[in-house]
Amino acid sequence: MWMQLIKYILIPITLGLASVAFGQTDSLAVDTTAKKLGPIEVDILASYYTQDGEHSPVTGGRGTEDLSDLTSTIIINIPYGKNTYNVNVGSDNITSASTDNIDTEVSSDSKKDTRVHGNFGITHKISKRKSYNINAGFSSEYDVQSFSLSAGFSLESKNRNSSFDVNAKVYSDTWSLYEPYDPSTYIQVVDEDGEMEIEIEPSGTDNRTSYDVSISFAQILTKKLQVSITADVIYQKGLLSTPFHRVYFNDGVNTAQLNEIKTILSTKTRRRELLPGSRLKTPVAMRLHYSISGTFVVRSFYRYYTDDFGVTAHTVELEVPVKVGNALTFYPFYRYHDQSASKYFAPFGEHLVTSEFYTSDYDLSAFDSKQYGLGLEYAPLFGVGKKAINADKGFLKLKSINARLANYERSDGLSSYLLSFGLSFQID
Amino acid sequence: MKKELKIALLFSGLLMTTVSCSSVKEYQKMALNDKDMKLSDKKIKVYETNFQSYREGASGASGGKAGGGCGCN
Repeated sequence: MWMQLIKYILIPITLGLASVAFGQTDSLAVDTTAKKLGPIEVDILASYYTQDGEHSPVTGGRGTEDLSDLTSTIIINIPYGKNTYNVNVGSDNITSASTDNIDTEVSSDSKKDTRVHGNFGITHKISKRKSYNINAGFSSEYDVQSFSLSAGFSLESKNRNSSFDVNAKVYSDTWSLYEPYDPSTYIQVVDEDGEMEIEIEPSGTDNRTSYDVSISFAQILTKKLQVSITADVIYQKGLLSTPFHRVYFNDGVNTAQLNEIKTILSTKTRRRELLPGSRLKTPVAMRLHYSISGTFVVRSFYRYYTDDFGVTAHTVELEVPVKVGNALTFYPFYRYHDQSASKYFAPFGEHLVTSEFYTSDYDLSAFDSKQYGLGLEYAPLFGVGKKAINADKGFLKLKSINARLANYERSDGLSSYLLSFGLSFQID
Repeated sequence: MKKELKIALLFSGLLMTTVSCSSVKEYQKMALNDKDMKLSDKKIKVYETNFQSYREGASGASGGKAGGGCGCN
């Protein structure tokens, strides 16, 4: 566990910091460049997520959802003249008992997967009140390769009391089709130890494209109150079902006494999850932030969501930052989410074999969820500490330390914890 | 669905019109310039937004990702 932590978090952190620090030293050596270069900001984030539940879609909406995810991310912002360059890279290291059940081989350890992702962007200031940005990103995991492109425009009013943002993003995903093991079509191969094992190979590839257009308007209402309204239109087309999600049908075969593996080996009618080839999502959200005093701020958020899969949802969030002294802030928060089921969802064994589309993924079921927790930020006015990185000038300053713990409970029994940690550096 | 959307829009409209929208000068923005008043999520919250978009049927309009990748574990 600790070796894994060192490997996946500390190594990227060290490499990221070293590259930024040395890059800055070189830049500072040239006077003309130093005049244009602003303070570089480096954020190093890490998290540990763990969940458990009993409704895995891999085994048809019945079975373990035990999963853990260790992540690390580095975000670097480099202001240079009228441009700000942004780099965001990271990795997820997932251990999932659920995806281990794609086949019937019970491994000594749960299935492991690593996802790497990166995003590179430029924000260009056209004038004091106008800017645009362009970004390109990628992510890669064992079954999905994803690329994204985005562009946005931002405009502030003359009195800087209101602002308008528009962003457009396109994702292109290529899926390797790892289909769930079926006893009637399996292939057995001999492994390195001379033992027979089931071979699961992708049956091909398929694509998904997502388009997201987001419009946001922000307005200062009083000296202590401001609001923003954001509307998204998200259109997805292509493969929207997950290839290795199983669906069991209502065929009269009783498997209530069988575990997930024995159910896979039974004669109960099953198919791969099947969803329509397009989906239109239209969320609208509002943020309202109010400064009660120098000590308390109220941050509230509401979102109404609807899509053509039949899901309608309401989400409310409340966070109240409390400043204790000049450096410490506590962030107690609560979030409530309520959603209706997709018209394509039914639990294990309840779909009719005549259904056109079907899923037993409880992420698309009717439920409500509650999330609560506490965040903590330590950010002294002159930083936590600093170290010279250049003989003439140039300091690496640790600006703030952040930590956050969240507990999430879904009414279908899924529960999870997320521990996040962040360090913010500035190089100037 | 349309009824709820109308209520949300009406609520937003009422809020915008009932609260005085007088111009706030730069020197009056001390409270608004507090980092916790920023109208976006803190960077450390990105992981929460990500897992919520995977574990719930709803996503978007919150600054997080609304598509791309698997997230199917």
